[in-house]
Amino acid sequence: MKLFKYIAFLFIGMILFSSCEKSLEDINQDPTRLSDIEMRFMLPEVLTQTAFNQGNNTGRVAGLIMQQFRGLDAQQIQYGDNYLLGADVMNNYWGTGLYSGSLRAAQVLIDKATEEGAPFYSGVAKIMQANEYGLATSMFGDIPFSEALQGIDNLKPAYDTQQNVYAGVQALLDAGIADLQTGTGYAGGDLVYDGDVAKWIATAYAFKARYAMHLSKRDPSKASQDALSAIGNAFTSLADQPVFTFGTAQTDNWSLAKFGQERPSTLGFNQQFVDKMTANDDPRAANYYLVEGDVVSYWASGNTDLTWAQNDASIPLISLVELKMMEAEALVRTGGDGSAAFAAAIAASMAQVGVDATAAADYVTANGTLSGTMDEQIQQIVEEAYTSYYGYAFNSTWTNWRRTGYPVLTASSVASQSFDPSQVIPVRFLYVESEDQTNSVNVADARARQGGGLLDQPMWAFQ
Amino acid sequence: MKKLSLALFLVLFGVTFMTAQRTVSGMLTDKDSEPLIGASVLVKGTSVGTVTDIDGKYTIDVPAGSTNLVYSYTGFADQEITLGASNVVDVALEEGVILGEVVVIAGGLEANKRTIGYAVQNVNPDDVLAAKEVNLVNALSSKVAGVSVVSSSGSPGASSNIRIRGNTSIGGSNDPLFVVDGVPIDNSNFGNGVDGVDQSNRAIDLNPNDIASITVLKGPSATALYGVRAANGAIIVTTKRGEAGAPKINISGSYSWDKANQLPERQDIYAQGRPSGGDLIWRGAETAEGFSWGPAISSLEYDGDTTYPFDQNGRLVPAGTGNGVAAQAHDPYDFFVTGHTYDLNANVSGGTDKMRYFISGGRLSSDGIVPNSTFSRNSFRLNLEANLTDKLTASMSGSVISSGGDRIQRGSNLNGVMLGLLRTAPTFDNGNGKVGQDAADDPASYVLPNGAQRSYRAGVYDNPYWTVNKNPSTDDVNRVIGNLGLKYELTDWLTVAYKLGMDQYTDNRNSAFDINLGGFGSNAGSVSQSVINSKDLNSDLTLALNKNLSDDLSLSALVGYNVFDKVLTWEGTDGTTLSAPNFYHISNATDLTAFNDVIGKRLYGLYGTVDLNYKEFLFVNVTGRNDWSSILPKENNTFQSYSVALGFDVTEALQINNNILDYAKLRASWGQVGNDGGNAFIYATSSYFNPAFIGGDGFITGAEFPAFGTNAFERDIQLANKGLTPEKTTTIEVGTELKFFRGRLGLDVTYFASKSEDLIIAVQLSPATGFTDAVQNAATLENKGWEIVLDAGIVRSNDFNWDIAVNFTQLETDVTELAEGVTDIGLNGFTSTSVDAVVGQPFSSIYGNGFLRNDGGDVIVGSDGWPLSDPIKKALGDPNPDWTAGIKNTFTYKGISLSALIDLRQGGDMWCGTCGIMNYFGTSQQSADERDDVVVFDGVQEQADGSFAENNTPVALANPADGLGGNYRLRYGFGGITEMNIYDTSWIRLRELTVSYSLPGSMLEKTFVEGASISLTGRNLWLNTDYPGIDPETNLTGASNGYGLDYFNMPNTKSFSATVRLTF
Repeated sequence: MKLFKYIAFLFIGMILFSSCEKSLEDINQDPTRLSDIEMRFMLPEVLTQTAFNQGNNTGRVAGLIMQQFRGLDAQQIQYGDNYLLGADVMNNYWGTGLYSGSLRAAQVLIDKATEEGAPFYSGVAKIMQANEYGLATSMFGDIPFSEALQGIDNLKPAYDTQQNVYAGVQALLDAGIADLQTGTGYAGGDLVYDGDVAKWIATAYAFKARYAMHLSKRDPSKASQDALSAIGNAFTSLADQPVFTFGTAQTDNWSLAKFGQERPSTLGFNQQFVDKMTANDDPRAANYYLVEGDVVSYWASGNTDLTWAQNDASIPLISLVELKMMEAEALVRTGGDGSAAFAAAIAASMAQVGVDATAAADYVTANGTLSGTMDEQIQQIVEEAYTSYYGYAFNSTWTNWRRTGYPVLTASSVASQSFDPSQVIPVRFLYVESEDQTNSVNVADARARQGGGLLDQPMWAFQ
Repeated sequence: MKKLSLALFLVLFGVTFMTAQRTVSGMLTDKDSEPLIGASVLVKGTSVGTVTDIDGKYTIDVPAGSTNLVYSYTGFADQEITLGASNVVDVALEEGVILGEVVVIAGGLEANKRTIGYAVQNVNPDDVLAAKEVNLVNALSSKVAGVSVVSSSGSPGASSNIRIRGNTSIGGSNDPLFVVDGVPIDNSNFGNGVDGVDQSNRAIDLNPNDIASITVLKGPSATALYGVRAANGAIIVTTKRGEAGAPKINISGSYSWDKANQLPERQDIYAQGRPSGGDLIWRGAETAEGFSWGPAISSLEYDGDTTYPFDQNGRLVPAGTGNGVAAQAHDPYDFFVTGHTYDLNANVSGGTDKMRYFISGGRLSSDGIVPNSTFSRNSFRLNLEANLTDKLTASMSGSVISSGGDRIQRGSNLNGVMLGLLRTAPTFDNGNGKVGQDAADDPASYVLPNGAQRSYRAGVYDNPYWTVNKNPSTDDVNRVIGNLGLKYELTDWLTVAYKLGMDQYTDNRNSAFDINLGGFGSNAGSVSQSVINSKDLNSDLTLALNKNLSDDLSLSALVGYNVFDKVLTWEGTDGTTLSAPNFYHISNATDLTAFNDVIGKRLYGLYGTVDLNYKEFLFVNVTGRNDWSSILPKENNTFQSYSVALGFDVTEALQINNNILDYAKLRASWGQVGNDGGNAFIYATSSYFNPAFIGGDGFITGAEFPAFGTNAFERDIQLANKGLTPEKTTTIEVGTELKFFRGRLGLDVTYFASKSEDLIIAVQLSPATGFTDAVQNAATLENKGWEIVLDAGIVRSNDFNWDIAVNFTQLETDVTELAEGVTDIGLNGFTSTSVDAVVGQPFSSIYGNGFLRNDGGDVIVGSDGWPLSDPIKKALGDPNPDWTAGIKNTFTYKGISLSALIDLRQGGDMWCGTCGIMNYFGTSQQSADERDDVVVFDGVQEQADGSFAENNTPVALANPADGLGGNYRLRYGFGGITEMNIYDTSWIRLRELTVSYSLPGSMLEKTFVEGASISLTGRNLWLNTDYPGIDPETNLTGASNGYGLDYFNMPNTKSFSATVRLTF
C-alpha cells in the first residue's frame, strides 16, 4: 500500500510532463523564424534600405550643412548652426543603415545568388552595394571596403583608402553589369524595374558616371571623360530612371516625410534657399516649401504639394536630372557645349516635381543657357543642381559643393570648435563611435592617415 | 456595539483611556534561577506587553477577559501561562531547542537560521504592510542589507527593479527569483524602455496582505536549491496558513493620499520666445517654437484678442501696446492632482485537526497623481492543508489575480506627460483657466475649436491634458498562481513529496495615440492591441531525510528532481492611420501589421542538500545541483552548481553563558553556480531570417515588411554562436551573528565577494563585419561588499520600549572584463547618453561626452572662449551609491507604537537629462538665473606653441545678439553634453513614519471584535537631496539592467495613509 502511493506520486509528475516530448534541442529552435529564404524575398530590403538612406540622417544633415534646411529645434540646431556633429551622430546610419543594413543585405543576396547561380540578383545587389559604398566614402573618406562584410572571418576590417574605394566602386559596378549580362534567374522582388535587366545595366552606368564625377577635383578631364562615356550607356528618360516608390502606411513611408511627421517642427526649410528660389522666380517653390507666417516648412501635415515630403514619394536612386547635370558639366570641362544637357536637366527636375510645361519652359528660357568662362558655366550648373537635387539627392549637392565650391555659402557664425576647430562648413563626417568601441586600431589608423579626420579636414577626393 | 462606537470615537479624537482588570507581576528566570533581563511578556491576543527589568521582574496590566500570558526570550522556548487566582506569576523558561528565527529555504522547507552557514535575512511581513506600497518589491526597500530597489516612478503600478548583492549579468536578467510557497513565480516586465508607459513587474500581483513570511536568500546556496533562475538570489515568500480552531476573520482597510514628492524648479520670469535680430521677442504657441528665451514677462501685456485660440487673454505684446492687463506666468505643476488608493482585505482562516484553510480576498484601487492614471488589483487566495491519513498530507495554495490599469505616456516620448509639462513655456496655460482633474475633464484645455491640439507648441509636444485623454494605454492581467503538493512520510525520518506549481497569466494590452493633426500636430493616429500569454510549470519531486545519527550528530538531507517549463507568447496587431478620432480599437486603423513572438524554455535539475548538525554548535551545509537547459547548445547544456557552508556557534561550543554575550556564530561559505544566461539569449545558437526592417536612423521609426505588396526577410545581424557555454559565478562569504545583553543588542555582519565569469553577452561588433553584435561568453563582473544588520532594544520598560533596527550595505559592482578589444557595452539609454558596462568601471556607468581635457585634467577652452567637448565618449558617472542604510526607530507606549524608517544613501550619480533639456528650452530656474551672465569658463587655452594658458576670454551665456545658436545652453547640442547634467543623488529620506494604536481588549469586551488597531502612515514625507530633478530614486528604464538615467521620468510620490484592522 505504501509503495503504491509512493509510485502514484511519481506518476503525477510523469503524466504532467509526458505531453512535452520535445527534446531540449527542439525547444531551442525559434518557431517564429525561418532559417533560409528565397532571393525574391531578399531583394526588396536591399532596394528599400538604399532608398530610405537617401532621406535619413545623412541626407538631412547634408541638407543642413548645405543650408537647404534650417534647424528649428533640438539636434537640428546643433547640427546646422553649431556644426556639433559628434561621433554618435551617424552611428545608426553606419550600423543598421549602411554596413549592417543595405550593404549587409546586398552581400547576403550576392552570396546566395552566386552560390545558386542567379546572376540577376547578384548583379542588382552589386550595383546597389557599389552605390552605397560610393556615397559612404564621399561622406567619411577612407572606409572598410575590401575587408568588409566578412562576418566571423574578419571581425576587425581594415579601412581602405578613399582612392581604393572609388576604384572598388567602379569595379563592383562593372561586376554587376557583367552578372546582368550573363543571364537572369529573376523570380520576383524587384520593386524598381520588375526584373528588367537592360534598365539595371543603364542604372549601373549612371552610377559609374556619378562616382567618376566625384573625382573631378583630382583629375577633371579624366573624370569628365569617364562620366561622359558612362552616360552614353545610361538611361535617357525620366520613365527609365530607377525610382523607388514608398507607401502610405506609416510603416512604409519615405524617410524624409517620416521625419517631418515624427519630429515635427525641428527641421525647417532655409530662408536663404527661399530667397534664392524667389529671386529666380522658381516655379518649383510650391513643391519645395510652405510659408506660414514666418515659419518655412519643408513638410506639412496633409500637404500634397510638397513633392519630396510625401509619405509615398517616388525617389530616384539616381536621377536623369543628375545625369544631365553631370553631362553638362563634363562637356563644359572638356571644352564642349553643355547647354542642351543643362536645359534637359532643368526640364527633368521640373517634370519630376510636376511643374507645368509652360512654367518649366519659361524658367529654362530664363535660366537654362550656359554662358561665360568654364568656371562660370560650372558655377551655373552646380548652382542650378543645388535646387534640382533638393529633396532626394542631398549627398550629391554636398559633394558638388566640396568639389567645385559652389554655391558659395557662408559658414555659421556660432560654429563650435569642438569638432570643427577652424569653424568652416563641414567637409566630412566624423567616424562613428561604434568603430572606436569595436575596431579601434583600424579606425585610429584611418584617422591618422587623414589628418585627424575632424569636420574641417578635406578628404582625398576633394583636395 | 455601542461600546465599540464609543471606543472608536475616543480613539479618533486622540483620547485614550485604559481600564485594567488586574495587575500581574512576577519574575522571569532561566532554569538555574538566573534572572532574564529584557524578556518579553505579552497578554495573549492583544498588543499589551512589557519586558522584564534588570532583575528579571515585570508588572503587567492584564485587560479584562484576557487569561493567558506568553513569556518569550531569545534562546529560550516560549511559554504560555493561564492565569489563576494569583496575581504573582514567576516563570522559569526552558532553554529552547529552536533558537532564533525560522527561515524558509528549499522546497518550502523551514530551517532554523541558527543552523545555516550563509546569509539569509527575514523581512517582517508587518513591515511590508506598513510600507503601504502597492508593489511588493518597493516594500522591501531599505529593509534588507545587500538588497537595492530602484523604482521607475511613482506612477500607479510602475515597475521596480530589485537586486541582491549587485549585478551578475550584463545582457541577461539580474532579478532574483521570487518563490511563493515553494514554487517560483514569474516577475518579468515587458515594455519598459526610455519611452512608452510604466509597465508593471509581475511581482506586483502578489498581495502583501497574504504574506506570512519573507526570507531573502542572498548567496549561492539559493541557486543550488532553486536552479539557475535563482542565480541572483531568491526571495522566498510564504503565504498565510490556517490554524486549527474556530474561524478567525481579519478585515483591514486603508486609504492613502498621494502627492508628487519632488519636482524640478521652473522659472516664471521669462516668456515663450527667442532672440531675433538682437532683440528678445515673444513667440506664441502658433509658431510651434519651444523656447522660453523670450522677453521678461513683466515687460509684456495681453492684446485682449479673444479670438486668439491659445490664450483667452490674447497674444502677448510689449507693455503699453496692449490692453493693459499684465502678462501672467502659469504654474504647470497644477496639473498634478492628489492621488488616492484604497486597499481592502478580508481573510478567514481556521480548520480542524485534519484540515486547515486560509481564504482571502483583496481589492486595491489606485488613482495616481496624474489625472486619469489608475491601477487596481483584485486578488483571491485559497490555501488548504489536509491530513489525508496520518502520513499523507495534501496541500494547495492558489491565487487568482486580476490587475492592470490606465498607464501614462512618459519618458523620451513626444506624448510624454513630463516632457510636455516641463517644457511648457511659463506664459502658456496648459489648463486654459482650469487645473488638475477639472482641466483634464474639459476638452477646452487641450483641443482647439478647430479640432487641432491646444498646446504651447501647437501640437508638437502634447499638452499633458491631451495625452492623458487622447493616448490611452491599458493593461489587463489575469493570472492564476497555484500549486498542489503531496507529502508522504515513508518513515518517521524519511519523507517523499511532490509539488506541482503553475503560474499562468494573460496580459492584454491596448494602447492608442489619437489623431493629432492640424496645427503642427503630426500623428495620423495609431492603435496597438496585444496579448502576452505566459505559462510556467514547475515540478519538484523531493525525498527528505531527517535523522539523528548519534546523540551528537544529526543529519538532514534532501534530494530532488525539478522540471521547469516556460512558454511565453506575445502576439498582437499594430494599426496606424485612424479613421475616426476618439475610437481606440484596431478596427479603426487603416494599415495593420501583426507580430507573434515566442519564448520556449525547459530546464531539468537534479539537486541535493546535506545538513549536518554536530552538538548544536557546528553546522555544515552542502548543496549540489546539476542543470540541463534548453537555451544552451546540446553539447554544453549541462552544468553544475555547488556550495559548502559552515556555521560555528561559539557560545554553544565553549559554553559561554554570561550577561554580556548571549550568542556568537561564525559563518563561512563558498559556492559556485552555473547559469544559462537567461531568456535574453534564447535562440542565440542558430542563425535565422527575420522580417526585414528598414532602419538606420535614430530619429525616426523604420519601415517594416510586409510592404509594397511583398514580404521580405533579412538575415540576423546578431552573429549566432553554436558554442555557447554556461556562465559561472563563484562566491565566498564570511560573517558573524552576535547577540549581547540577553538579546538587547544583535549584530549580523557579512562580507561577500563574488566573481561572475564567462558571462554571455551580445558583444558589439564593427557593423562593417555585416553584423552589429555577436553572442559570446566574454564578460566578467565582480561584486563585493559588506552587509550589516543591527538591532537594539534601547529602552525596555513596563510601558515604554524603544527599538532600533539598522540595515547597512556597502557594495561594489564592477565590470572587470568584456570581450577582447571591447571596452564598453550599452545597457540602456540614448545615443548621446547611456548607461553602459565599461571595463574597469562600476556597472551601469553613465557614459557620454565630457569636456575635452589636457593631460593635467584642465578643461580645454577654444579660442572663442567656449569649452570644447571631447569627441570620444567616456564613463562619466557612477550611479551606484557608496553605501546605503535603513534605520528604523520604533517606540511603543502601551498600545501605541510609533516607528520611523530613515533611508540614507551616500553617493551615486544620476544623469539629469530633464535638467539639460529644461536648461536648453529656458524653462528651468537655472536658465533664468544665469541668462544675463558673462562668464570666463574655468579651463585653459592652447597656445601657438602647444602649451596651455589659463582661459581669460569672457563669453555672454545668452546674449540676444548671438541668436539662439549662440546661447550657451544650445551650443553643446540638445540638452547639453552628458557631463553638464550629472548630479550626485545622496539623500536622507523619511521613508516611512507610522503611528499605530491597538485597542486594549477591555474596550472590545462584550463585542464580537477580538482585536482592533488603527494606524497612520506617512511614506516619503521628507526627502533631502541636492539632486535638482525629480526624486532620484526613480529610473527611466524601469526594471531593466541599466539605471542612473532621468529623462522626463514620472515623479515619485509621498503619501499619507490610514489603516484600520479588525479581527473577529
